[in-house]
Amino acid sequence: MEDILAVVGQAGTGKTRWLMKQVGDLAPRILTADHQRVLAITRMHGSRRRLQTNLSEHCPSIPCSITTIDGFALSILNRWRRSFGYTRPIQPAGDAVFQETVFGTDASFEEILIKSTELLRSRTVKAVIRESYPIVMIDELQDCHGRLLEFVKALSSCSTLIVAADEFQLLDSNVPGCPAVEWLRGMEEGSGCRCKELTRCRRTAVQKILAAAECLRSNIAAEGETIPVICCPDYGPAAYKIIDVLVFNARSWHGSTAIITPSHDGFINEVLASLDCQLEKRNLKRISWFHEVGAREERKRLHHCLGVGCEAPGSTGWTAPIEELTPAASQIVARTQRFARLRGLQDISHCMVARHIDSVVHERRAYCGHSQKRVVTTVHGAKNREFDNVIIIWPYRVTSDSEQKRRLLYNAITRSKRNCMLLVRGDSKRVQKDPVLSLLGPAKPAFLPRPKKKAASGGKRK
Amino acid sequence: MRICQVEFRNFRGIREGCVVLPRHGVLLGANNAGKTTVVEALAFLFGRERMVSPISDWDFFEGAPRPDSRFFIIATLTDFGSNDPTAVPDWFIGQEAAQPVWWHEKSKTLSTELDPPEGAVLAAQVAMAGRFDDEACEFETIRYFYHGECDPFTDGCSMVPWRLLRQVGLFLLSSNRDWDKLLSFRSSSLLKLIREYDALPGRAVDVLKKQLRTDVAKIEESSPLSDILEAATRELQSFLLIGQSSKMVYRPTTLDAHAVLQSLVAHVAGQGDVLIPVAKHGAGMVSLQAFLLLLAFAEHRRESGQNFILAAEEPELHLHPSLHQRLVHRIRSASVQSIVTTQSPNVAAGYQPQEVIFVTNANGKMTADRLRTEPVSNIRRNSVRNLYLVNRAAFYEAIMGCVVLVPEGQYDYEWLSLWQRLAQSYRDSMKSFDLRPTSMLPTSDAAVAETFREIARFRQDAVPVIDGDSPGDSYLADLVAGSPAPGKIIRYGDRAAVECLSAWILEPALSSPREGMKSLLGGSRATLRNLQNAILARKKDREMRETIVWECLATDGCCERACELLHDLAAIASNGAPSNAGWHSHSEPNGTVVHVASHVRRV
Repeated sequence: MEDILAVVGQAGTGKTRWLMKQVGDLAPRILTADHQRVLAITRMHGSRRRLQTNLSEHCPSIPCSITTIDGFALSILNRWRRSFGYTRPIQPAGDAVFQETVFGTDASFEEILIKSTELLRSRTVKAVIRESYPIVMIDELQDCHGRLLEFVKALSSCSTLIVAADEFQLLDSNVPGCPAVEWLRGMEEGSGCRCKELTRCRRTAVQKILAAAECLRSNIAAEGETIPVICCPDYGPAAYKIIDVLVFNARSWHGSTAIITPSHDGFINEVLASLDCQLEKRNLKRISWFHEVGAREERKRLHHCLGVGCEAPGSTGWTAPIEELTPAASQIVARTQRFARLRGLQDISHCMVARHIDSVVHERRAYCGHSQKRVVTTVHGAKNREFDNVIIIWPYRVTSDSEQKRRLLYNAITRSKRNCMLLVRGDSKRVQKDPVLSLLGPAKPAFLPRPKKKAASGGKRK
Repeated sequence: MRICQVEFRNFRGIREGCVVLPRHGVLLGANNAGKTTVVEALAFLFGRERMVSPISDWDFFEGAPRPDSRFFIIATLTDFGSNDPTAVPDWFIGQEAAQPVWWHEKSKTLSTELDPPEGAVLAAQVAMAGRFDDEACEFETIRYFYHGECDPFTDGCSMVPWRLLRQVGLFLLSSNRDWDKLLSFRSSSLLKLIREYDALPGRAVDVLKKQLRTDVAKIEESSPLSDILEAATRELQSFLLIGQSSKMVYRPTTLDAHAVLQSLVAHVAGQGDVLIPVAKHGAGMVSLQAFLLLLAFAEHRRESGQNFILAAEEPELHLHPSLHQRLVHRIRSASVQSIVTTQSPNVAAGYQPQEVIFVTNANGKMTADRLRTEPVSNIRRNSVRNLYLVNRAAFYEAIMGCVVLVPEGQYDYEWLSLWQRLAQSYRDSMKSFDLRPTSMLPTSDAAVAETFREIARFRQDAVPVIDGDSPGDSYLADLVAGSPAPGKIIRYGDRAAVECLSAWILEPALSSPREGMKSLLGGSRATLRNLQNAILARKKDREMRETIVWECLATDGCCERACELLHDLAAIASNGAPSNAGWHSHSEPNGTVVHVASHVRRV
């Protein structure tokens, strides 16, 4: 068992900074040969990108390989695949169990993790991994559970681990508690694991935001003031509140801004459409948003756009659509056609296009950076990021239990550095009845009686 | 570091094949078996791009690549100096690196366990794949770490950096070499070689460049050229109104470092220290010089702790046979590993049988077996052991031969070889008979069956030639009962031994016997019976044999019979029709066809 240096702490307490400092201190001592690198891994691509930004900013001279845990597991398994009797390249696909297909050897991420964990038990593989990556750094360790956590544990027997986690930021609704943090805390004294707990929030000093975070975390209703919770009966008022803060209160709401929702549904699009419409009516400059969508959503759109049916996986005879395509879609078409040509396949199956949609979506998520100043995203997409201003739009339906809702809302609120506002669809009664939303204190209506009339009538005139 | 195995798929004439390479080895085989393909493939994989010819359609099996056609060359490297992959970080550590695999030298096999199995050494596999891009009409190649079967062009792969390929230090000496070019800076070969080994004398080239700029005879200053140039310059000035001198001067080369390097031509001091360019020297001398230069580079590399692997095609080219073996020893001592192809049994004889690899190719399936996997001392029969010791060169020649005959014993071998030489030197031999190149295997102690079985390991088509007498019967029985049994056996007629065959060939000379014949007959009447008896009586007298054979060169009838015999032997061995009507054949119960020369019999 190698050393484990762990940090556990709430959002914004400086876990990432601590990680960078540990790597900065340790790497020059432990990395002795030119070929050695720090392996920096995370579960999700979003956190991987952010880790990459942080590393290049804080530790620019330390050689790093940055990837996702799944990606790393797949790459080592592919290098040693022959030792398990698979000769053709292993490719992640659905829930296959090492099946020979036209693409290679298909396997689910689950199966890939099982096999690569087994791989790390080998003396030789362990030695090769340790020599390649004497330090393995994992951010957002709370996201690892089940097979992922087993893989991380196996890695901990190869190299020194530097990890950061916050149990309350585990957004997977099917997992009770937080196995990763329990693992860290459960490790005995003297086992080489040092677990540091951070409590002071450094991201923001705004008392209202801290209070909101605290009451969601502790599940105790706030006594004092927290962030504003505003009830919006519909998209119009919600859009107006956004204009209110970003345009009319631009002085205090300057800087980067995110609109965060628990999930993508129609409501957010209506709000954005209304926002454009109201700005235009007022002869105000349009606010452009970078609308980040989840992988599933992006895949769905591409499937639709490329006419990939949900027929049986083997269904054949796919042809490229004639109309003009988005850059992503035409990239997929080109890749699929190249693949078929290079493999000598006359017929393109829907399944083959779907496979290329997956890989392009994956790459776009892996390599397209976030540099936008104004983004619309989900709570999952906002993980581990920070913004000056956060506007949370809470729709009617949030499909989670109240524990999960607390985590979602906590994550969304703690992304903000200066301003945070929660727009709830519905009336104040809804907020009162909701066990999570009510924690933040009484809700306000979108408009005070007088201006409400004015704005509403103004909105309806057209 | 050395290459212990190389595999091929769809590369040139090889659809599929694998060669296990010893530390030092020689590839033997018929023309077109794929010897050259093996060494060139290594150069493709490890050499600089331009060390070998660019890829073409013909590098793909069957020569008509489609977009999904790929060729693969997969090499296994071993002897890294350690069995611990972490001690060889360049090859095994990091994200883009080789999978540690295990080479079992004893069984010559590769295994892919996670941890080192007992008795195996660390190995790495690298591969090169090629494809034809029909849209761009281009060829594309990739060198990658081999982790299992894949299409690197669609699956993605870990590329092998040039730095590592250079570490292998493979140099190909191709057979279509221009020796003088290899020695001249004008060709890129030498420059490449020198750069490869960081031996470019940069400073000296710079000095030379400066000298050429200033310290040379200035032809533009000597009359009458100087006057003409000056007049032209004056007029130019009046046209262009340039104040400065625009006078033309002449210098050898364009005076940049590259041009200076390009202009260097190798010379050798001849008599009286006159410098003669190497191209004007004899090919033998130049080739040896180039070869030794290459070996000097090799030594230089080895001394600085770098690897050197030499792949040479026919290193004996242009060299005197007496130098062949010495050359082999130099190659072995200068390189960490050497793989040589040859047509010369002499060169091959410089290698142990375990180091000789016999390459065959049947419809694209290449096989490459070592002549022996166990030491020669393990062979029980002395006569078979001799094939690898005393008669090594002849044995190797037979293996590569077109038609292979296994005579019954030592005398049979000597007689047949003599008749073959006679037939080949007869002026009209080509007119009446088509003489195919035929190799005789030296058989000793009458161990024809064992000798056949040994060569049959490589050449199932070898044909034993046995006497028609009673020992012949037992050889026949032995051969037919053995495994593998020969497909064909040639036998002389009734009770005839090889001496009777010679008597049959000499028969036309009996009508007007010359000196040698007379002394052989020793005064007895010139009949076939007496001739047979005389030869049988002096069967051990090699000198006598030689005399008579050369004497009968003067008798056309004898020469024609010798030609006919050799033609018939080769024809039967290669499924053709013999010309003499005396031949008839029957099948043994096991399927072996016995061809009997009834015209050659004891009288």
